[in-house]
Amino acid sequence: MNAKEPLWLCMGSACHQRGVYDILPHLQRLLCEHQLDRVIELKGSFCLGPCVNGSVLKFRETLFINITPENLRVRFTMEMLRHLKAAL
Amino acid sequence: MHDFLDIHDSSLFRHGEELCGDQVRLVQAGDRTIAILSDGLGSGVKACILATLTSQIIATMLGAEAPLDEVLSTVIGTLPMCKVREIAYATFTVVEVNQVTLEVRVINFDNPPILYLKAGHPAKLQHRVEKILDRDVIISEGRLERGDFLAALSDGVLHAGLGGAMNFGWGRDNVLKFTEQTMLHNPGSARAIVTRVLNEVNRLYHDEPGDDATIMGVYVRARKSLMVFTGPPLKEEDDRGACDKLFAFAGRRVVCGGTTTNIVGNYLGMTIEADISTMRRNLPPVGYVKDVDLLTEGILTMARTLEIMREVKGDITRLPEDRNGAVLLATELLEADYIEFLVGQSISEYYQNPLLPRNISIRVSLVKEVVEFLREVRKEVVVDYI
Repeated sequence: MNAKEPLWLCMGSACHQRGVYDILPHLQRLLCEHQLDRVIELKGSFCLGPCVNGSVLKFRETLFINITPENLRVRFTMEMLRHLKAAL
Repeated sequence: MHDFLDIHDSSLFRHGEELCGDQVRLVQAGDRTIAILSDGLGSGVKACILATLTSQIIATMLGAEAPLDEVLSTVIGTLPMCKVREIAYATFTVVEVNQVTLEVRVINFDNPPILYLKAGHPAKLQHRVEKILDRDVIISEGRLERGDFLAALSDGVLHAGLGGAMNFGWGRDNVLKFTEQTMLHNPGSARAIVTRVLNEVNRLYHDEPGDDATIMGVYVRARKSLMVFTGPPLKEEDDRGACDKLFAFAGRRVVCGGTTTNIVGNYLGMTIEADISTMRRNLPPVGYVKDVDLLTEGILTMARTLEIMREVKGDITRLPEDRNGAVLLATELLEADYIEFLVGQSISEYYQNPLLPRNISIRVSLVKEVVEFLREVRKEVVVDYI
């Protein structure tokens, strides 16, 4: 079996202040719901760059910005899912 | 780089007293480190004032390089004399060490003889008795070497267990033997040796010391060095040089800051992963990479590290058990004797936001506070702004 692909979750100061601690378990649950946890592994990253637009996630070369615990579910299904499915 | 002069003192208060009649002062005068232990006769307030007076006069005068006989005559002349017993009210031991040459001079006025161990075994310094103002003062001189441990004691240490666990108290030979045993276990720091011996004193007193008991230990050992690289340099072209410096540093290495971590990652050509298990609600996680002992987020972690170090008053043994960024960083800082900060002054635009809480304001001022605290707890700190 191939190694899982990383989905990077920024853990820098700014993103941390904006709720990464709460985003992490949510995100893990969403990956499971869509059976992406078999191919994608959630990993912590140091600063991904656009701090003003935290929280920031990164998959392959795509950045997802302004993610909050509140908008995560919508952003995940509407936007991130199609990128992540490339890993299947 | 020369060896480190590790000095630690600790006291037990006489049972029921709120003040200690033993006082310790440390002065740094150029290359000379002067440590003074004074024991005021009796206990409580009076003893505390006498010992404070004595140690402070000596600290001030020896620090200003006043000749020994003048210092002693000022102290002896100032101290009240007990009319019945004809003895001075505060005894003292001065240990003066040159940090570079390790030449040592011990001046003992009526305190118990010092403990001196060379390579873990009892040894002796050359000593002579001088009469100053008609009182005997014992002066010992010599040169310390790595591994030497020298300690001044107040008599409460020798009297441990008097009339209780031991008929006549613990006694100097037993104290020396116990210290020798302690040294066998490679204690690593003056704090560890002093703490173990003093714990034994307390045990012999059944946790109710009959007298103030103080040990002031001086331990010569290899210096533990640490470099902390925090914050991106002002000019990007200096990134490489900063990393060169970090990896050339002989000692432990810590990188503190997300962007700084990325700079190091680029230098090594690696993506540095954060260890999510160390994330806490108020603290981002840490990371690890080859040849760096710890990587943490910057501002939040450092602010919390400072808080924790203040809470435990710089005592590494009292740090919280939790394995998070702030505790790990505090451990690195408090473990080291010599710390070199490499501080990048470039400010992330995120921190320009006036709505942010103050504790994540500006790195430079936070680093300054950390440095100030570390110096207070006797760390040698060098700061290099880039």
